[in-house]
Amino acid sequence: MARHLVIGSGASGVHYALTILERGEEVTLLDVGYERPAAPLPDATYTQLKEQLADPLSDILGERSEYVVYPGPVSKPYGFPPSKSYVFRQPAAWSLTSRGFDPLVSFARGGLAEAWTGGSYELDERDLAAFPFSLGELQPHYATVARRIGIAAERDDLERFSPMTAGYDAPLPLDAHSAQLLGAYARKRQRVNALGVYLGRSRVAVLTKPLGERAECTQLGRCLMGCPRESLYAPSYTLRQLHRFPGFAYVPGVFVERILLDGDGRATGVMTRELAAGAEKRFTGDRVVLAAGALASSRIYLSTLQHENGAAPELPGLMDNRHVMMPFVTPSRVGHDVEIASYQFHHLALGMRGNSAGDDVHGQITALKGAQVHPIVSSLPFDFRTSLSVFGRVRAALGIANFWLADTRRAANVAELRVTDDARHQLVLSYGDDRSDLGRTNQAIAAIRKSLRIIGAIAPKSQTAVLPRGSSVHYAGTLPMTNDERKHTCRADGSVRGFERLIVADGAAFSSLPAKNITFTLMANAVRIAHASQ
Amino acid sequence: MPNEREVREARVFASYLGAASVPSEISERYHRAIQHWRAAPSERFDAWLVRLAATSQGLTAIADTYARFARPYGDLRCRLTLMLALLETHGATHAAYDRARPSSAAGAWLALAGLGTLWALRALLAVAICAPAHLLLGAKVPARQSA
Repeated sequence: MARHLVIGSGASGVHYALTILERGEEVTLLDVGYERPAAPLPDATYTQLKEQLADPLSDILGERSEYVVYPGPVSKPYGFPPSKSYVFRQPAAWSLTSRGFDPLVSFARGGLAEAWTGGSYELDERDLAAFPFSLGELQPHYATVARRIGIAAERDDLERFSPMTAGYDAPLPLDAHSAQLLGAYARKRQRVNALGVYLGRSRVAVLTKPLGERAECTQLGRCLMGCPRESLYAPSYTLRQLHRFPGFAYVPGVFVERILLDGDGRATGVMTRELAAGAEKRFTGDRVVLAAGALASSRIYLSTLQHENGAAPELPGLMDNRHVMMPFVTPSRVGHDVEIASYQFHHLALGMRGNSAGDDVHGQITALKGAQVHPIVSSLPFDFRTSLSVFGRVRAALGIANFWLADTRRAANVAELRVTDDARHQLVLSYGDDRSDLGRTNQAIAAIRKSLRIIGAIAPKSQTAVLPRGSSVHYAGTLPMTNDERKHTCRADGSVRGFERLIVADGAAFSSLPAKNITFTLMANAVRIAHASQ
Repeated sequence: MPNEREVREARVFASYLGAASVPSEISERYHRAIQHWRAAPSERFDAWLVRLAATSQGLTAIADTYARFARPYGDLRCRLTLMLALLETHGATHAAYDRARPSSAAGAWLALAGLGTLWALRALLAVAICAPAHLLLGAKVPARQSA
């Protein structure tokens, strides 16, 4: 019976592992694995939490108020609370530097998707044009993942961008602001569509009916803090499921340094370093599966080559979605009341078709409901007292459209390794925008702003922010799946050329980066690769 | 423990932000966070703005109005942001911030027009009071980092 050494417990790792375990094989999952703290008062709404917690100031703002979002040149409409600090904690062994790229990396149990807002969109043929497998080979695995995690969705205009072949649950109840925008879209669809923009319900990995130990969403308004009912999916829930299989072993507290290879370039195991004791520890297995996230997996791969050859190559083709944040106000909602305890994240999504898949745009629209007030009020163009009065009257009218542009692999955007003076392996990322990026971004901004205007929302130009590269948190492309027999690439089944029994199951193996949120596809692709890994 | 001046500053800022009273935990947290900042000393003009703002609610409004466009990431704006964060989070004070102010559309727009007019008048006054001090004492300050 094969033993798979899976590195990382994020979206890709846990779904690869679950598929293998369901087949009756064995999995050892190696992880740094910082743990999610238990959510207090699981039935309290966000506002009740402030009244019922013994020390809400520490729980929500931190012991030294270090989670307050202070005003700064880059406007931040919210900050992650202390309950999410485990997602972004980094071990001392990890070292990263970057140029033109500002990435987030997670070593949490569940990885970066522990902070996922749940957007789940199937790719279409056009998105997969650069991949060495067909849509038909991926689609059955969307169904598997949808069954495992639960996705609330509805058929609408967005189906022209993102098929709905998996089984979906009923959608969440719409908040009043989102319902108004969607109603306006239904009446003025033709004018919006003429701009190439289509609107619909966002498809979210949130339960509208119970699933196993997880309960349905009751709109507590604690999505950002971490849903205490586990309605909003996080990979750590799947990790918990893995423990039920006798063939599963979870090893947290280890930092994977490199892959062990035999004389024929066959992966035989991994060398790790224990976080607590600092001792090296070796694990052996029949397959080694890189699922630590595109950046951490690239570092492990490069460290392996550095160890074996005394030098590591550049990995070209690093990708990231350009991320634009467009706050808006819907004047006809000024003076309305707002339901503070409600599902906090996006209810609406948008798609915009470009000339090619590389020009497509995907977005999610969030109407403001319950939220931290201070980051928003401090960003309004008045003194605090005036801003608070204005905010109270326009709160029900505020929203934000976040949208992302597709990316393609380019030779100039690379991940490489630097050996530091103290012999540490540091991942170095370099990213430079292509000349066409600015034009595509500006076109998307103009079309989406006009579309919002048509449905009754105004997005002030001065408030629209093109965020620094890396902020999309969708990283990919350093060890791409391709049909070309080139070094440092994978075959369609995720196996790395030149290294037997080494598999890439995460975003590093993506051949291009579609505009749509890739988390659902990361999971489905990991299931596909697990099926191929016989 | 916060000294008398710091307690007064917290009380004035909390009142300015609409709180009827300031629980002692908020004063202590406010003080503790500011102690932590003091690793980086304030610029002279920022210190002057904070002193002016802490005098009374009326002067807080003047100093804050000026700071919003002349020192948007300066000490005063950061202190007021901190105080607002504490007020909106504490169990005894959060209710005033966790709500909208529903009204008729006409009433809301009328209120917004009134707020805008008052703000414009206050901005003129703020420039008249603060700009000379800014010219005498001013220097740029970096943005404070969030966690």
